[in-house]
Amino acid sequence: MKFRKIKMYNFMRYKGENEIEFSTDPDKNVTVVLGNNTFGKTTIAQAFRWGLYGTIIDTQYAKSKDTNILNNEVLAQMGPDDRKLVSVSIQIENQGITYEFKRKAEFVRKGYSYASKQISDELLYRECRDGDWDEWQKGEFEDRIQMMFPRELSNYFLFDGERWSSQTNSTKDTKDAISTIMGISPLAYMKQHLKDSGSKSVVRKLRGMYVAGSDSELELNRQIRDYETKIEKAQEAIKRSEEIAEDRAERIQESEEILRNNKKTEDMLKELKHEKERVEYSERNMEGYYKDIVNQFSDSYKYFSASLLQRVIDMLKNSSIEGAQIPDLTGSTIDYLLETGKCLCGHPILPDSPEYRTLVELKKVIYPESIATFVNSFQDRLEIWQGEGKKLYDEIKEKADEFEGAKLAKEEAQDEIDRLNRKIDRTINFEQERRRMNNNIREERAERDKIRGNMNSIEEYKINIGKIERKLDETRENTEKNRKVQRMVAYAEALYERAAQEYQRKETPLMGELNDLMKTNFSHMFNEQEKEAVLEDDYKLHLYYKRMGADGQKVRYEEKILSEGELIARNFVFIVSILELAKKKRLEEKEEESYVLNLPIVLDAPFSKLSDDNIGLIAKVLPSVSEQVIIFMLDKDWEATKLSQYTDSAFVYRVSKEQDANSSSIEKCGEV
Amino acid sequence: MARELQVKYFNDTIYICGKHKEMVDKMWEKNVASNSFFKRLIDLYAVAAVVGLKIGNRAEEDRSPDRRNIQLEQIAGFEQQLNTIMKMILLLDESDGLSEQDRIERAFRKPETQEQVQERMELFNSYARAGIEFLYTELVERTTDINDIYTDARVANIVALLDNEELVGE
Repeated sequence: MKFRKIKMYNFMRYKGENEIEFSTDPDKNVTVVLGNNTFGKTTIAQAFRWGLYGTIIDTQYAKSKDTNILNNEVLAQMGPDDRKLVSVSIQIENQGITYEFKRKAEFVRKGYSYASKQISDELLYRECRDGDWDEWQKGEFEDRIQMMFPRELSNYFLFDGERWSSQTNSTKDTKDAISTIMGISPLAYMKQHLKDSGSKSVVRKLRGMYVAGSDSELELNRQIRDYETKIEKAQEAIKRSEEIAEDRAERIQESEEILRNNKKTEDMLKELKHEKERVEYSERNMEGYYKDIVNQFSDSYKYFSASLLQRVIDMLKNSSIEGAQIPDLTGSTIDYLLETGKCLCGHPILPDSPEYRTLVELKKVIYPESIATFVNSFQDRLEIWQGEGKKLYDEIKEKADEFEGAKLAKEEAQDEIDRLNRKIDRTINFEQERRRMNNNIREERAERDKIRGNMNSIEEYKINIGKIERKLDETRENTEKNRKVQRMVAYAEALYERAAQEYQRKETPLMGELNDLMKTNFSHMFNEQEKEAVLEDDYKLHLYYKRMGADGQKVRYEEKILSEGELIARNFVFIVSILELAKKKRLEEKEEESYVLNLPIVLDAPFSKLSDDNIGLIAKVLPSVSEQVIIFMLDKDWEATKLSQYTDSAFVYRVSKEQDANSSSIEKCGEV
Repeated sequence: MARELQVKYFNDTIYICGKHKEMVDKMWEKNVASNSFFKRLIDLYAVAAVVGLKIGNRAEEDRSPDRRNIQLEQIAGFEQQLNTIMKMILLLDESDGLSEQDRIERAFRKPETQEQVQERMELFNSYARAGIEFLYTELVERTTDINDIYTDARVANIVALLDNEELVGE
């Protein structure tokens, strides 16, 4: 089964009519749509879901409930309460016949608001054999779509949202999906219908047609009915337990998700500690640098004096402060002459006489009272200050720069702390969540135990019913009617046995094969020798790491808290392996006897979270496991996929968007 | 018996009173570098005197009883620097109308009387008080703006003061 063409009309990002034809060539089975993020690649993937099932799902860009199916530009041009059509038609090719489904919906603008409401939905259908198209037919064609692309399997071929990193999918859904893809679900239905549905089963109803004769026969029939009631009750209990167990499993997953985030929180707490140390370190540095600045600044009288120095020098230069140089004459010689009142020549020196005053003046300019000495040393000191002041300025600036650097570092760290604190505040208490998860794990286990207990009881009741039936068969009156019923019962039983054998033959090795494929794919696609993905009895994919144990032996431990990259890897391996197994089974079986589904794969590639190597490894697998690959990706990832060998250049498209425009358009690239 | 003072400058406790004390408290806290612009109060006092002289302002004493003092021991260790500043003041201060020669004499001759000491100490202190007011405005009251290279107000104001044209211009 392959998609041949999709036509969109006014669908989301695509105004007017846009269409893409897909490669149906068995060798070059890849169609690629390139384009930047937000240009409308995801929209094309969404068109498949809407076209087939009339709904869209949440994507990384928008919640489905907030999304306008009607193109926004068209909506903007509409008057209040105006109506416009949206349609998506999908052509499917299977065994020489082309089928086309066309979903048409009418939308009305909600008054003046920038929103629309869907008021009608119509599914049209037509077929084309040997190049001739039938007329379009109106009606209930959902069943046909369901037959070709079972909706519950859409998660296995239609990747139109960001579900690659999703954790969910219940055990039952997964189990049913695997059965459906592998084509063994009809056998399971058959078993159920013939015998496994208790009093409603074919065998039971046939047995009810026996004509009961004796009291003992009536008693045995009553016992059978009792067991059947018990079986029904046990089945109901199993159903209840399954529901509870599923619910607990979901809650466990939620807790795991939260704890996974809390693993991030633990990392954030480490980071926070580091940033706090950075703040403290910067603060210590700032304190040190500031202290240095203060120490230097405390001497700034020298620096500020420098600008006064020139004034002082000029002033002193203009004054008469030169000392007198008279050989061997000092202040004390003059003091002696003044005291004795007589000159060396005998001339008297009387107080206030001209001689006395001359000597007093002379004393002022000779040693030690000459101020010239003081002036010189004062000038020297100011010059030293000037030199020191200049140095002081440079040093303060240097320290100020260092201080500023430390302050910026502190502020950066502080911003980081604020950011981390905000993030951490948003997460919740680990311990409480862990307790909650452990409780749920206990409860899930208890329910699973109950299920096992009830299943054992059912087996026992069935054995007992079998014994009673054999006893009844022995004692039953050999009438014509009873013989007829007996033949019908024997026929239904034989049919049941055959279905059960076939189911057993197909189902039992499936898990083993699937696991082998997954291991191989995991190691191929992710070059992982230390990790493996295993599908277990709960039909969930578990990821194990191998690590050296204390005794030097490799031990396996389960990684419960996965990063987004690991989730994508794990889920990818799961889906690809199922597709691969389906293909293998198809090839093993004769075409006309095979019920294995043959699906194309449409995916909005999850490449942004993966390395180029992994992109190449993943992409390499796709064309071989699936009949047809329709893939959307960024230009930059194309080369890494190495898909060009599986791609005819006629089926390479690019979505583009005019700057400032709301709508996108699709064109053929022609080459890649 | 009253202590007989030697006839010299900086021979007694220095008091900083009233509003100047308030201003000083905002610029210096004992042993708390982060709350101070100066290591010691005497450093602030010395810088303030030079700043007052440079801007050519003198300020009256605020005689409020609240005061902060600079102990004699601290002064003694810093006497040489203070005396150099005193000489600059006595040389450059023109408030008495003295001739240059007389100012040189005043600066370089020892004071002869206590009255001279007191009078010149008051001259010194009046410059220091004006300097305190200027420093307070520039270090404490000044707010940083976009032209400041440094984002910490203390550091920015210190650097701005070192670049202040009024103080460093010829």
